[in-house]
Amino acid sequence: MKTFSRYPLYFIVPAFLLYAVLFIYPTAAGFYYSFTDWSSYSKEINFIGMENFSRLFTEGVMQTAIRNTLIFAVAVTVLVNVVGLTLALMLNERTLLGSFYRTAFFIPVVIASIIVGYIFMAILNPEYGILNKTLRAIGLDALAMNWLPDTRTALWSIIGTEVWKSAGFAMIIYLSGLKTIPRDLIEQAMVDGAHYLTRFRHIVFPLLAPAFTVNFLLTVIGSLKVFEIVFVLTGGGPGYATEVINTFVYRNFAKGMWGYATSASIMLTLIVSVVAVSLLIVLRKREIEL
Amino acid sequence: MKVSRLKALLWGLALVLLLGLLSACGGGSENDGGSSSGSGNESAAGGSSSSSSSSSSSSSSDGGAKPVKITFTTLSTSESEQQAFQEIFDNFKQETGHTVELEILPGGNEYENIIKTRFATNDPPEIFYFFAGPNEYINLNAEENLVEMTSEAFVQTLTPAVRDFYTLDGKIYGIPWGSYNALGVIYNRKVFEENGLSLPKNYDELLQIADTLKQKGITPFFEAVQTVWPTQIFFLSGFQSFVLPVIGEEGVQKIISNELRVTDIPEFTELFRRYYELKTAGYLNDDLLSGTYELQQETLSNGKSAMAFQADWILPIIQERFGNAADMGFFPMPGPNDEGIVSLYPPKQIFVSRDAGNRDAIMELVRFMTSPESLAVWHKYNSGIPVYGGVESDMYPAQEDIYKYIQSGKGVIQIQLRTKATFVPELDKITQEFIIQGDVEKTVKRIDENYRQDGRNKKLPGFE
Repeated sequence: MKTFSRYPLYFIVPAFLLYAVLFIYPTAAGFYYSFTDWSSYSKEINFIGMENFSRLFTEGVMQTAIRNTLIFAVAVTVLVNVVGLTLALMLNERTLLGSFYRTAFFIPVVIASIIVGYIFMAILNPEYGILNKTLRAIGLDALAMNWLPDTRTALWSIIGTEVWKSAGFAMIIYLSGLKTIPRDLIEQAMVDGAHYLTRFRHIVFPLLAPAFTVNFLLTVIGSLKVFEIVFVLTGGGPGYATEVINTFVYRNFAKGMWGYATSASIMLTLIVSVVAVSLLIVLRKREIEL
Repeated sequence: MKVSRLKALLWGLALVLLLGLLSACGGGSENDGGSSSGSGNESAAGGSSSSSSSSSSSSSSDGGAKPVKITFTTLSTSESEQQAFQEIFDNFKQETGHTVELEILPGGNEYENIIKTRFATNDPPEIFYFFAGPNEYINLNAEENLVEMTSEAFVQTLTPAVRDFYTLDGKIYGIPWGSYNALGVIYNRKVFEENGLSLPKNYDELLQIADTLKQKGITPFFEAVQTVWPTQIFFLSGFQSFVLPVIGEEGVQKIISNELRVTDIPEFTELFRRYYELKTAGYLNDDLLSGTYELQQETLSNGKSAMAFQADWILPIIQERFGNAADMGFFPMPGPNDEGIVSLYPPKQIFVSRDAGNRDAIMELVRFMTSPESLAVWHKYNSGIPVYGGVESDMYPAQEDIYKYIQSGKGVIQIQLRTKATFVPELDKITQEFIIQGDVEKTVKRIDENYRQDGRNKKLPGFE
């Protein structure tokens, strides 16, 4: 393809303006406000330097929030990708049943997080929820725990809910990745006597690298920014056991501590950027090698 | 490229659905402020609300001649409160033609968050029910956001103690509404009678009572840990009986002005240790973490639990759900050497926001609500100790107990409402975490830090 049309540069101005006003300006303003004591209690806004940030780390709740957010991100990313890939491998047939299941697994992705939260609040209810009722019915009483109120299981219950919701999305992307793998490669490997697992390890998985990069990055970034599912299921509780960075930001915003909440939010932006960029570099290198 | 008819049909259907959804969302919501749309909402980005309020108050000078729609925002509590509001509003409509719509939002700390967020995003509720205390004036930035009520007629009919309590620097911004509530121990009198128990004269006797009940298989205290806010009550009612006698009124003033830190009061830390002791001694409900407010009501009512650290606002709900609120009694948290002091919670208050469009109609509503007839309607549904003079109210037996304590001088307004910087933000989460984990030092330290940080945030003198 040699020719390309050259459009005047000013064609991008409208879109760029929109982007600048709705994205660049608020982010820059956020950076500015995170260094001030902007709050609902006074009309003046004073520059206070790094005080907000140092407070973030000495307060104690922030450390819990960061820890929980990181655990959540790692667990959700790993589980979503494993489950999504497994589902994609299983449902890669063109059968009617495969088609039905693909749709079924994708539907949770399009349900709003709040609704998913309410559904799972009902499912995970220790007394009346169907999870515990089923466990008791099949004799596994010991496993019927207080999923959401118990500090030990609360975070994992939220992780489970998020995996249920997002695995379908990973599945769809992996499916499209699988479709790009030429069938004759697989057939040649089968002729050469390779087992399924060997085929997977040496052919399928390396060729899925682009889909893997996309999924991994999207899940990591999305799960670092989690809010709704935590807020609906536990509100950050019990106590602060499931507090994540965004629930912390929300609480401080509602308290009127706007500058402080903005600084927590900027810190989240930094974490996400660092994680995303480093992951991108590592994963992209993998792709080029193949 | 051929586009099959089926595809075109499906696209068309999707488009129609999308448009339908969008129009439904857009058409369904009405601006708050009723007919005068956009009065407070046209403020420029970053502008403070006071600049727009001057323009809105001049635009609503139609004298309330046209019937307007007012939205009254409240938090979800008991059915009886909502019924009372509804009847008052129906009467108001009959008399003036203005419609008042009752907007019910989730309660607890969430309510405070929602209201503050609405003020922050320039979408304040016009007239709303809010928590008690003059420190809410500071919380909501009353001078900028709320209408001052000092010169209104109802102020004169308030009982003096409440009027004094609600006056800050000579101004009153809220309309006290409801009854006095008291924090302490709500107990099932039948359970006590059946087991031959009498009211404790001090804290050790309370523990003995708990032990007797435990032997008999009755849960001594039911704590609603999952609902979060009830876990604060042990501390708030215990403060009066354990800490107040030691530090005195002087000490309280010092706390208010940040000259005395709660970490320096041994009795304060001791109070938390005692709370956790209840758990380790097995006097709390077994399934502590899934205890909810609803279960608390249920077990108190049917006698499976004997006592709960609660306030008398639980009584109308028990009455509504189980019908036996008359079986409940009340006693204050006993102190180390005496029966204890009742921790009083003056009624919540109604605020009117400055940005509200139909100011005249709203003030008419305020005057209507504070008239003896409307107050009588309120107390018809919500028995309790009235705060306006000249109003009769039926009280549950437990409330009569409370009234007796107040009359004999054993009632003090609880500490949380007397401080300018609040203990409140996150106190409920802190106490919830405490009863689960039991780290006394960490909890007291956190309360102290929260308190001082709040004072710094509000730029109160003495807190830098």
